[in-house]
Amino acid sequence: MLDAFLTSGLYGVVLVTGLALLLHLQLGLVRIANFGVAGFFGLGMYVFGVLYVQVDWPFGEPWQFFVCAIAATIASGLAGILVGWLIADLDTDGVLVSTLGFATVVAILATTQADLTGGAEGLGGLSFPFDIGKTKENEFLWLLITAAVVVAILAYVWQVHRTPYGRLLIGIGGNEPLARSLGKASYRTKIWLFCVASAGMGLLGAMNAVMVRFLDPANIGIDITLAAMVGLILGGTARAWGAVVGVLLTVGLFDIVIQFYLPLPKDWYNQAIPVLREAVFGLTLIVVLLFRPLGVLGDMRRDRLLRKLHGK
Amino acid sequence: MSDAARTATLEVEGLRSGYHGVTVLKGLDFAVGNEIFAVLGANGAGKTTLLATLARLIPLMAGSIRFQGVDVSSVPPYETARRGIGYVPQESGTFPKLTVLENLRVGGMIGRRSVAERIDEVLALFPALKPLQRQPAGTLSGGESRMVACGRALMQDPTVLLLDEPTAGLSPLYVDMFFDKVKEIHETRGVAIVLAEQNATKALQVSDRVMVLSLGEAYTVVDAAELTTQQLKEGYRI
Amino acid sequence: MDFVTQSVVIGMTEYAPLVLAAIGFALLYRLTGLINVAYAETLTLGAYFGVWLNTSFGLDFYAVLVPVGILSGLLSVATYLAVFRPAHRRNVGALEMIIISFGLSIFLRYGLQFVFGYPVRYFDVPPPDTVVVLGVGVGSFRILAIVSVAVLSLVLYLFIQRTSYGLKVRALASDEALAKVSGIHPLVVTLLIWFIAGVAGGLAGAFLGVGSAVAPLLGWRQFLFILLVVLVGGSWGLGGVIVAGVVAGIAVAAMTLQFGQVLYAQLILIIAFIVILKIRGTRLTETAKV
Ligand SMILES: Nc1ncnc2c1ncn2[C@@H]1O[C@H](COP(=O)(O)OP(=O)(O)OP(=O)(O)O)[C@@H](O)[C@H]1O
Ligand SMILES: [Mg+2]
Repeated sequence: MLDAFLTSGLYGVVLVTGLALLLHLQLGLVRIANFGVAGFFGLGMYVFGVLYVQVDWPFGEPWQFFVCAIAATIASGLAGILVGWLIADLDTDGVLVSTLGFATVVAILATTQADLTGGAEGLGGLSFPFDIGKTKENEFLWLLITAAVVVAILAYVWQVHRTPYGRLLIGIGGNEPLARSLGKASYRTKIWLFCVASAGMGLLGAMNAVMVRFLDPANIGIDITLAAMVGLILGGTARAWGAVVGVLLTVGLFDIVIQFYLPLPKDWYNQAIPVLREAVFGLTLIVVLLFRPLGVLGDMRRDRLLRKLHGK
Repeated sequence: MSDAARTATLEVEGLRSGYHGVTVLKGLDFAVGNEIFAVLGANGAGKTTLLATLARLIPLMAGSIRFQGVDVSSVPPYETARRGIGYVPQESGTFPKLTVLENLRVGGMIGRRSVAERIDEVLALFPALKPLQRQPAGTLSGGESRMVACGRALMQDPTVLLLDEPTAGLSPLYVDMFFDKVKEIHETRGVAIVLAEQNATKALQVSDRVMVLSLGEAYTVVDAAELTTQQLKEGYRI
Repeated sequence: MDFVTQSVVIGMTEYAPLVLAAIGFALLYRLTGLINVAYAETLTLGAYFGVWLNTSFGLDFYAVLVPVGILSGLLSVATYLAVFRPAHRRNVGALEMIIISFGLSIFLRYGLQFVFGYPVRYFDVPPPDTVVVLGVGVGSFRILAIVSVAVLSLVLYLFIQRTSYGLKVRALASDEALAKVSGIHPLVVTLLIWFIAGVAGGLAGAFLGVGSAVAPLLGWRQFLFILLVVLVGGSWGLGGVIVAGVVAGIAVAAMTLQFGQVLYAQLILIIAFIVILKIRGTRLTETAKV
C-alpha cells in the first residue's frame, strides 16, 4: 500500500493525464485551444456532487455513484455541444473568450448557487462507492479505478489516430476551408468532438469529486486548464503519447518527485512550491512553443515516414 | 548607352536570391544609370523577386547591390528607402485602411521638402486622385490604387524607382496613360526607373535599356532599340 | 434617487479604469493582431508599482501616476522584446501566440510572487473625499479615474489619428512590408505601441488598486471583461471599445443593484457578450460567402 500523500500525488498525475489526452483531441488534432477545461471538469464535478449529496436516492452504492456519474458525464457532454456550437465558426480569439467565459460561468454558478453547491464554503458529504477498510485503502483502489478510466481514454485517443475520423480532425485543424470545400461537415465534426471530449472531462470531474470528497470553487480554477495544457504541449501535441509523457514531466515532477524525494525546507511546501510550480508551468509553455513547438516527442510519425522515404 | 555603367546609380554583381533555400535568381550582373531600365521575362522568371531584392525585402544569398557607390546588400529596407530607393510592389502597393491622402503622407515622411508641395505634384501627375483623397485606399479600383502606390513611392523623392508591373490587369487606355506617366516621371524629375514588365512591346517603347530574365538568369542586357524578336522569343522560351 | 442615474453614475465611475485597460488592450490587438493574455499582468504590476512608490517613497496617489505609467510601459516593452518579438521572428502561429501569452501571464503572476512574496497590499492614501454626482456619492479617486480615462482616450485618439507617429503606427499595422519600404523603422514604431498599451494598462491597474486591495489576481480577475469588451466593441475602432466598455459597466452596475449580487451581473454579461459574438461571427462568415 502506498503512502497517502503519494497516492494523492499519483492521482493528480492520472487525472491531469486524462484531461490532457482529451485536450489533445481538440488542441492537437483540430487546433482549437480550449481554455475552458476547468469548466467542463468542474461542471462534471459539481453535477455529480450536488446530485449525490442533495438528492435522496432510493438505492445505495454503487448505483448511486453510477447514476450520478452518468448524469455528470451527460451534463458536461451537453455543455460541450453548446460550447462547440458557439465556437464552431469563430477564430482563435473567439474560442479563447468563449471557453474562458464558459469556465468562468461554471465557477460563478458554483459560488452563487450556495443552497445546492455549498458556495464558497464548499460541499461535503461525498463518499466512495465501496468500502474496503481504511480511507487509505479506499483511496488507493479509487486511484486504480481512475487510472483504468484514463487508460480507456488513451485507448480511445489511440483509436482516433488510426481511423478516418482522426484524419478528418487533422484535416480540419490543418486547413478548415479546404476540408469544407471537400464536402466535410467541419462544424458538425467540431461540435461532436467537443461533446465527446467534454463528456470525458465531466466524467473525470465526477471521479475527482469522489477522491477529494469535498468540493469548493477553488478546485476548478485556471490551474487545472494550465496543468493539462502544459503537459500536452511539453509532451507534444501531435502524438497521443505526448500528453502522457508531458504530464509525467510536469505534474509528476512537482507533485511526486519534488513533494516526496527532494530534501526541501518543510515550510516551502505550503507556499513556495505551489507558486513555483505554476511559474515553471507558465515558463515551460513559452520555452517549448518558442524552441520546440512540437514538444519533446516531436512529430515522430512524420520523422519515421521521412526516414522511410529517403532511406536510412 | 555604354556610359550608363559609369554614372550608374544601381550596380548589381553576382546577385543570387530566392525563398527558403529555393534559389530563384542565379547570379545577375547589371548596372542601371539614369535611365528607364526594363526587366522583361515570362511568368515566374524572377522579376518580382529581383525588384523585392533590390528593395531589400528579400535577403541576398550571394553577390552585392551597390547604390550610388555604396554597398547596400545588407542594409534594411527602411534605410534604403531613406537613401532614395522607391519601390512599388506588384500587389498590395497601398495601405488599404489608410486614406489616399494618408498613403501619400506615409511616403512624404522621408525627405525634407514640404509635404504639401509634394502632394500637389503627385496630384498634378495623377489628377484622377484629386477627388479621392479622403477615400480609404482599400476601396479604390485597380488602376486608382496603382496610381496611389506609385504616388506614395514618388512622395519619397526617390533617385531610383522600382516599378513591378504597374499596368498588369489594367484596361489598354490606362496602360498607355501609365507608360506616358512613367516617361514623364523619368524626364521631368530625373528619376531612374527599373520597370518589370510582361508587356514587352509597351515596355520597349519607353525604356532605354532592357534585361531579359529567363528562369532567374539574365538572358541578355541590351539597348531597347537593339533587342530582336528572336532574342525576346528565346528569352521567353517560346 | 432614481435607479437609472444611480446605475449610470456607479457604472461609469467604477468601470472607468477597465475602459482604459480595454483601450490599451485594443490598441495592441488592432495594431499587432495579438491577443495578449499577459496584459492582465500589466494591470497587476501597475497596481504594485503604485503601492511600492506610494508606501516606500511617500508619494501621494496623484504623484505616483506618472512613474507608474512609465514603469508599466517599460514592462510592456520588455515583454515584447523578451517573448513576443522572438516568437514573431520564428513565425509562431496565432494559436501558439495566445498560448505563449497565457504562459507569460502565468509566469509573471507566479514568478514574481515566488520572488517577492507578492502579499496583498493597500495604498497608503487618505480616505477619498466623497463627491455627490447627480445625487450619488462617488469617491474622489473614481472621479479622477473617469477624468483621466476621458483625457487619455482623447489624447490617444488624437495621437493615433492626427500625428505622424500615429500615421506610422497605422501604416505598420496595415502592411508591415510596405511600411518598411516606405521608410518606417518597424521596431521603433512597434515599441511605441507596446509602450502606450503598457501605460494604459498600468494606470488602469493603479486606479483599480486604489479603489480596493492590490493582490496578485487583480489583473486576471478583470481579463475576461476586457477581452469581451474589446472583441465585441473592437470592430468599430477605439470608439466602439469605449462604448462597449461603458455600456457593459452600466449594465453590470444596474444588474448588481437589481440582484444585490455582482456575480449574477457578471454571469449575464458574459453570456450576453458571447451571444453577440456568436451572432456576429455567423453573420460575418455568411456575408463573406456571398
Ligand atoms: N514567397 C515565395 N516562396 C517560394 N517561392 C516563390 C515565392 N514567390 C515566388 N516564388 C517563386 O519564384 C519564382 C519567381 O517568381 P517571381 O514572382 O519573381 O516571378 P515573376 O517574374 O515576377 O512572375 P510574374 O510575371 O508572374 O509576376 C517562381 O518560380 C515562383 O514560384
Ligand atoms: Mg511578378
